[in-house]
Amino acid sequence: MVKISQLGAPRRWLIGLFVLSAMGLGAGCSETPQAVDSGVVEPVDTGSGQTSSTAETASADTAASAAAGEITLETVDVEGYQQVLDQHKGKVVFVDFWATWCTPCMENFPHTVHVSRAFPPEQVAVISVSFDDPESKDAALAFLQKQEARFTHLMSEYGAGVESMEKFNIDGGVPHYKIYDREGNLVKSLSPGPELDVTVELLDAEVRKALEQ
Amino acid sequence: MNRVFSLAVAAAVLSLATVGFAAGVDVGEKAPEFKDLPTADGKKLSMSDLSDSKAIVVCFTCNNCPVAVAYQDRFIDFAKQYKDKGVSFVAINVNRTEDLQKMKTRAEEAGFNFPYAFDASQTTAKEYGATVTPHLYVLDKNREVVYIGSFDDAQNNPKQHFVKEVVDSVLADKKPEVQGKKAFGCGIQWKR
Repeated sequence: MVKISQLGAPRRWLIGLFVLSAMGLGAGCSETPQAVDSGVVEPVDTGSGQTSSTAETASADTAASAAAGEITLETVDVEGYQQVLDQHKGKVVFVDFWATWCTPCMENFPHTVHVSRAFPPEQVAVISVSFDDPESKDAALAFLQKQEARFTHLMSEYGAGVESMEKFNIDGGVPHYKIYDREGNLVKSLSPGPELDVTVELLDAEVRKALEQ
Repeated sequence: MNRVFSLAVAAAVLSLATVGFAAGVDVGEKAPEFKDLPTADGKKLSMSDLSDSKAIVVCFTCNNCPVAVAYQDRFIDFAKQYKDKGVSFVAINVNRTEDLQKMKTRAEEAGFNFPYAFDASQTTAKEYGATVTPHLYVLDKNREVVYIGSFDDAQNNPKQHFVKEVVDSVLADKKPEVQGKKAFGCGIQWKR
């Protein structure tokens, strides 16, 4: 490997510029811990609380939230998902993959609700995709209504299992986020990891970056 | 100016190092050793304790995730079915929100017939590259990783039993047909 110090000054600067620009491009991805603002939004410690209990609590509010209408949950396969993406060509699309069985997903869901409100709907479309089994559909819908999440909600027809992970190409489990640019190209995939806390600031920054492309 | 450049290089090196670190182990590589992890029954668990096993199934899991809970009985059945064949099943809890006391209660209530160890520092999980609970790794007799992914293909009514198929291949001295599947479960609750 060529050592940087062995290169002449002009080339050193070229590399320096390259590194700096690469850092800019990569900011926020899991390989650049510098970009990760450590936990401004700390997930709530739910202790031994099971996810289902949250869903049940949400169920109690279903009637009240249903009055508000609008929030629905449509079951789709990957083709159906792609059709929804296609409908939003010309906008940046932000997708949150989640499930009622996933505590961190529900803790992080308000971030997605925030994104849906932080950007004009004509510029950024927000979609959620639930990996719940059909029998948990009501609980998922109740949760979305409780969150007052007024955007497009889909549910994987492959249910709670590895097939959903494979079909939607999810590495690193859920929650998982995908961001598509205005042409519909996938520009970002991220899951929280040991070096990556997915904060609302990070998601905001990633959407902004996709808008600037 | 030189300082800016040095910082840029340092940042680049750091980010490269992180890539290698975060990636964890791959199929075909030697499994990272885990050592002296405290277990729910008050003992310690090291990989070297299992040196007689023909295969080891390492399961990163937790008490809280409903997927992990849903799979508990399958793990118990597996451990029971494969113990006499010389296969060890070990569960390692990785969540920052949990502790040994809760694990002890769960192990007793559910009747765990396998060690339930606590990776409080999350070092073992990082070395393996685990991302969800449950996340399964199958190690052959040479302690090479031969499978990474989910236990089977579905939380309800599974049809393909990946871990069992792989372990059966290892026991038969055959190369497993399946090497990896995406893991299915709750994202690990990492320390911040």
